[in-house]
Parts: sequence; structure tokens; C-alpha cells
Amino acid sequence: MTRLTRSCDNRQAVSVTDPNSLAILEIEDLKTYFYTDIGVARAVDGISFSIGKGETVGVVGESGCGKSVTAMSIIGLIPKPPGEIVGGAIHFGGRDLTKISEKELRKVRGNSISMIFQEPMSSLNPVYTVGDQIIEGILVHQDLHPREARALAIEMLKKVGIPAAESRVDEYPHQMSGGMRQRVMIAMALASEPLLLIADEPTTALDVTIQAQILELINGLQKEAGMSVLLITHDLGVVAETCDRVVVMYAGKVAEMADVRTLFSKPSHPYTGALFRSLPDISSRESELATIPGMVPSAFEFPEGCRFRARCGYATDICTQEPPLVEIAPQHQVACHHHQKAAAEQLRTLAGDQS
Amino acid sequence: MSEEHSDTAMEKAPLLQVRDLKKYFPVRKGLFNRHVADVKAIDGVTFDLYANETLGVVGESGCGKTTLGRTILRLIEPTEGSAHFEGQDIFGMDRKRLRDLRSDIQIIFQDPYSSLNPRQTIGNIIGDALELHGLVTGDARFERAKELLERVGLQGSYINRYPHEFSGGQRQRIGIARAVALKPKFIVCDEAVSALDVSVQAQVLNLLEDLQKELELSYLFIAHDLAVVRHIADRVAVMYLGRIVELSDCDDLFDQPLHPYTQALLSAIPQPDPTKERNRILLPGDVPSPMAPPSGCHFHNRCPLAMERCRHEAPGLVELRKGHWASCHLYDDEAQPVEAIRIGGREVPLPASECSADDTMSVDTHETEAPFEGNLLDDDLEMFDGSSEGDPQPLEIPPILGDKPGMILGPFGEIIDPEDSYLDLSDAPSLETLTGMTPADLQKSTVERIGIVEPEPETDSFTNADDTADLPALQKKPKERVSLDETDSFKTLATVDEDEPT
Repeated sequence: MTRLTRSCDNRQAVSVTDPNSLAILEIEDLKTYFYTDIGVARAVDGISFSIGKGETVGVVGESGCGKSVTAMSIIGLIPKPPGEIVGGAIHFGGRDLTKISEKELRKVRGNSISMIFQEPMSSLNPVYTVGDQIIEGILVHQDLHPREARALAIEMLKKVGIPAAESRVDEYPHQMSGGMRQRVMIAMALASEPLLLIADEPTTALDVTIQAQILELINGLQKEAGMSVLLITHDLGVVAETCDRVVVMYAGKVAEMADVRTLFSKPSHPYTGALFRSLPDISSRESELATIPGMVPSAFEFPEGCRFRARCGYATDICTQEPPLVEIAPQHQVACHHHQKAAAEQLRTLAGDQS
Repeated sequence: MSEEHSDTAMEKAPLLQVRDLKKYFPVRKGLFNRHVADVKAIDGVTFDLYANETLGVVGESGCGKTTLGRTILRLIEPTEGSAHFEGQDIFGMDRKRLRDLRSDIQIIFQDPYSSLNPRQTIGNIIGDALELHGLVTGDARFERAKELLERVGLQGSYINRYPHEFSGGQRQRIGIARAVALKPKFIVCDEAVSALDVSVQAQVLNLLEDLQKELELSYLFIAHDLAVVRHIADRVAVMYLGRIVELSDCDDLFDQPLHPYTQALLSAIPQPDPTKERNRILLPGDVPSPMAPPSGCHFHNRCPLAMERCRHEAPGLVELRKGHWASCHLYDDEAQPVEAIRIGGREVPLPASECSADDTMSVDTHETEAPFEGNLLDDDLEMFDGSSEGDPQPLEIPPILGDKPGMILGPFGEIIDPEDSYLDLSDAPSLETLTGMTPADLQKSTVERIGIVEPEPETDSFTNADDTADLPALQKKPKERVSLDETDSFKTLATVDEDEPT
């Protein structure tokens, strides 16, 4: 039994440096559209952000905001057709991932960029042992003898905390629990020592106690390897505990971007503030939860101007014009015409001050 | 345990009385379908539910919370035990009386995508129940369905639409409209908001609360999200492997969690506050298989405070504080009302006779042998919990630990050799971070694995995002640790200073 005391200081150390100077991944005005029979879905519609070395960047938003499509675009897994990256660039390792060939992309994918998916059962092949699946990835990307690859696979399983890794390596995915399968996915993703790990809702399907184990694991391995992590989640609690910086997405665009403390203490976009207010608070019992009226508009029919305006309490006539993403403080960007008013009203009294 | 549940409800007779409810799913295998084992999805659950009350049921996948809800409705036949609704024996009813009863008891399912018939219009989905129970017939049922849709915040004109035309949140509203159509007294909400985004979840929670006030409903609110339960529930039952381990008023449970499992569960919830000091209790391993639950207290093989007694004797659910029941041997000798014995909180005086070196090992090497093999399909597992994450696999720990006392169990049940070279990497998470102990401690004995880092006090400087100057000072702060003192024959737990050689 272990008790971990985690404070923010060790995480903060990374993001005080300018992430752009050390950025390993830079997304510039990325647009990923899906061309379907019923129209064009502008799932990701001009987003820009970067990820620094060793940094954990969280992407949050409701379902249908384009979080997962962003991740799939980076790793080049957009199904084509109907999907297509129609604009922008993804700079990684001196190259633009949107321009290179499929063959070159394959060298990057699973090697210097790895990904963990939400559902560990459906991401593992049920007819191969977990060992085979880890070894396959190692052999594709590293020049190793199969015997060495197997040793490495066992080592990775040990590293992610699978007990009796020597025998577990020959088990099939169905013989493992959800938490263990997710660990196998992590072992597989980390076997190639990637520079960037994309984790798409890695703990959403897991129980809280298992989620706690997995988050600690990713965090520990990240520190050990100096890897960057792009964490996609809808759970603001997970973001608060693991991320250095946060990108809030709404309807295919970046609504707000800031380091985690600034975002949680001074949410400046009405959408960010509304997300926080609709969370039930575990430390006290309030009478009624604040809600966001309506829902995320369909990607086929995003409104002109600010896409949040139909659900926004601050909306005025000016919101029919698209708000630019402006920097209101160092590394704090907001796309809202009313950000000053919203920020002033949304200053949060953090629980740390209250108790 | 029916006397005093809460001040408001103590006078009234309970609406629902569940006594020693058990549901075992038989596991058969081989040529003759031999009965080889039972999945003990619910293993003796007793509680009362009062009118106009919300009882939250929380627990991890596979703990039996979904089976509990469905067994009370007799969607699943119970193995043993009784349930009385307004004095009527639910399990003794014939089909006709059971159908009549179902107008009083309803359920809202987790998955709004699979719980609505895709070939039926919304009007029929809601209206059919009204007609079956003879409340309204003919076209009048569509009028009533319209009213119900408007009540749950949808347009009445939607009655001619099909389920696929709606979003998840809207479908859940339709499910709620269907559930309240018959004016029930009691609704089982089985993970009713788990599949929804936070903003939609808040809308649906508010709707459920409004309906409760309006229709004087009682809810059995099954959820795994403790923040949601805290928001909506009056009382909470925490389940672990088919048993209720703690049952209490909502506020008292969150302020004074008595059972170590509840404490770990509460500490594992990620808090949406980056400035908050985390003090997370990591439980090793997964929930063991309900087919072969550990003997005695089901939680003992993951419990950091387990004693010898916990292995052999199942603790009963005892009222330890007013309106607060828990089943844990830790409180056996405590004068009541008890204060919570926190994992790593205050010192835990363990009686010497009940504390042997083995006890503090979090994983029992004998009882967690994987029993999961053969014919038990994933479908079988889904029977006792709607989630496919139902966890059949207990942790398997090789007996290597006994031979090599230098090895220790890591936070995930993995074996850490303190001499392992990777631990020497400067970037690696230090052994201390992982276990809360120094390598020197670890070498000594596995007994000391109870080592715990006390929370550091909140510091004001943390609230200032730009202020990092104070951080080194904070890091240097000596941490206090509770560990077993060897010189005292493990009798007491002593607080030791980090820098002090132990």
C-alpha cells in the first residue's frame, strides 16, 4: 500500500519555461473536414497550439468538440475518405506531418509518436497474445532480434506494473482486466520510447481507483523518460491533476488556452466558466447545478461568428463576428469578445483558499 | 438496522425494505454442464429506503450495484433474501401482481442508446406503458406522452420521432419521461447520468431533483461518480464485492469515511482544482473476482490496515456513528460513536496479537490465485454489471516475496527490487515517490510497507501561479511518516522523521 503525495510544484517546473522555444509539436491552423453525403463536417476548423518537451497538454471539451479528431490528425489516422486534412500544418521533428508520405508517416507513428486509446479491449487484437502485439510493434520500429524484443516486451510489462510479467506476456487480452489491458496499451505505446504520447481518454472506461493507478503510472513514466503527453479528456478533475497546460475546445475551435492554474482560477471564456459551474462539487452540496443550455452544434452546421453564442449568457450583436484568439496574459489565450467581463465574473475561489 | 436512518425519516415506515439479499449466478462448464462455481454478485445486502429519499449506491465495476437494482425490480430473480415494498413481498408475487407493482417501481437505464426501441416512435415508447397499465387508452396516451415530454424539457411534437433522431442527453430525458409516466413512487436510476457530458449531466440531475420534489419520488441512485452521488443523494451505500461496506448520511460519509475502502475511493477522485494538495491512497491491484472473493472481509487483500482477524471473519454492518453504518474490524474495540481511523491519518494502535508481519502485506498470496478460466464468457460477466469492464481477474502475486525480503510490492502490485538498476536513473520516479519510503526502510522488511507520507499543509504561495520561488523551500520540508517501529515488536505505530535514521 502506498500513499503518494503529489503537489503541483514538480509539474509547474516545466511550464514556467516558454513552451514554444522547446516545442516538439506545433499545430498551425489545422483544419480537418469530413466530406459526407449530407454535407461537410468541419470537425476541426483552424486550431493552433504547441506542446513543449516534457510537457503535458490537456485538451478538454464536450463530445463533438473535435478533441479526438485533433489527435487522429496528428497521428495520421483520419479515415480518408471521408476525412481529409484540408489546411494547416503539424510540425514535428522538423517536418510537416500533413505533407509527408504514408510510408514516412508510418515511421513516425508508433515510434516517435504513440497513442493510447480509450477502449483497451477493442484496441487490442483478441486472437494474439499481448506479448505478440507488443513485440510486433518493437520489431517494426527497432532493429532487434525477436528474442531481444521479447525481453523488452517483458521489461515494459514490468515497468507498467503487470505482476508476473514473464507469464502474463503469453496471455490473451480477454484474460486481463480493464486496468491491466490499459497498462498493456501503455507498455506497447512506450516500448519505442516515443517523444510524444497521445492519450485519448485513457481512463474514461476505468474505475476511479484504477484510474488513479493509471494516471500515476503515466505521470511517473513521463518524468522518467522526459516524454511529452497530449491528454484528451472530458474530465476536468483529471486535467487539474495531470496537465501543465490546457486547451479548451469548442465546436472545432480553440476557445481558451492557458496553463492549468490560470485556467482553473481565472477562466476567461464563458464556455470554460460554464463547464466548471456544471461540475458537481465533491466537497460540498449545492442546491442546484448550473447548466449550459442547449448542446454543441452539429459539425455540419456550425453557426457563423462565435460558435458558442447561442448557448452563451454574454452574447451580444458583436458575437456574430468571429472572435479572434487573443493573448490576454502571457500564455493565456481566449477567443471571446467579452472575455474581460467573463473573466471578472468567473474568478473562481479555489477550494484551497476556502478550506 | 432499521431504527434510525435519518432524523427526518425515522418516524416513518420504510418504503422499501431489503433484507439479506443474495444473488448468485451459477457458473457451469464441461460436458454435463456441471455447476462449478457461483458468481456472488450480491452477497447479503440489507438496507431500508424511505419515501422521498435518495439512496446513492456507489462502488467499482463488478461490485454488484447494477445487479442490486435489477434484483429489487425482479428483472433478475434473487437467490435468497427478501424485499418488501410498502409491506408487500416483492419476491413472493405472482406475475400479475408484479406487473401492478411495476407501476410503482420504475427504472432508468444507463445507456440511452440501447434502452429505447429504435423501431418505435417516442409516443409509443412512452404511451405503451400507460395503455398496458390501463391508465389512459387510445389517442389520449399521446396527449399524456406530450405532456410528459414537455415536463422533461423536450418539445411535445417529438412524439412522432424515432430514438435515433435524438442526442444522448435527450434520449435520457425520454427514458426519464417513460419512467415517470406511471407516477411511480420509487425509481431505480442505474448510472442514469454516467454516459453524459458534464453540462448535459447537470441538466439531467436538475431534472431528476425537480421531479423528485414534484412527484415525491424515492430514488435508488446507482453511480460510480461520487461527486454526482454527493450532489443528489441523502444517504449513500458503498458496495464492495457484493456487500455493503458502509452506509451513511451523505455528509457524514464524505466528512468521516469510516471504511478504508471508502477512504481510498474518495481519495482517488480527481479534483478539478490544480492547487489542491493531492493525498491519494493507491490501492494495489484490482477488485478480485466475485467468483472467488477473499475469505473474511472481502477487502482485506487490498486493505492497508488489514489485520489477522480480517482474513477469517467477515465483519458485520454496525452502526458506529449516528446513522452511519460500516463493516470493518478496525472499529471493533472502539467506543462509540467512533472517529474515522484514516489510512495514514492518525496513529492506528494495532493490538499486538492481531498484527503479524504478514498482515501488512497488501496482497494475500494464497487467496488471489486466478480462478478465472474456462467457459465464463464476457457476457456472463455483464450479467452482474452492465459494464464490460467487469473485472474478473484478481492480482496474481508470485510467492517470490517470501524468499527475498529485499523485494517489495510496488503500488500496482508489481515487484520492486530496490537494487534494480532502473531505480537509479535520476529521472526515474524515486522509490520514495512510489512507496513513500526510503530505500533503507524498504530493505528492512516488507512489514514497513504501511509507510505513509502525511499531507503537507496547504500553503498560500500555491495560489499564486507565478510564484515559484517558494517551491524549493516546500520541497525541503521534512515529511512525516508513519511506519511500524521494529523495536517495539510492531505493537505501535510511531511517527518518524524523514531524515532521522530509522
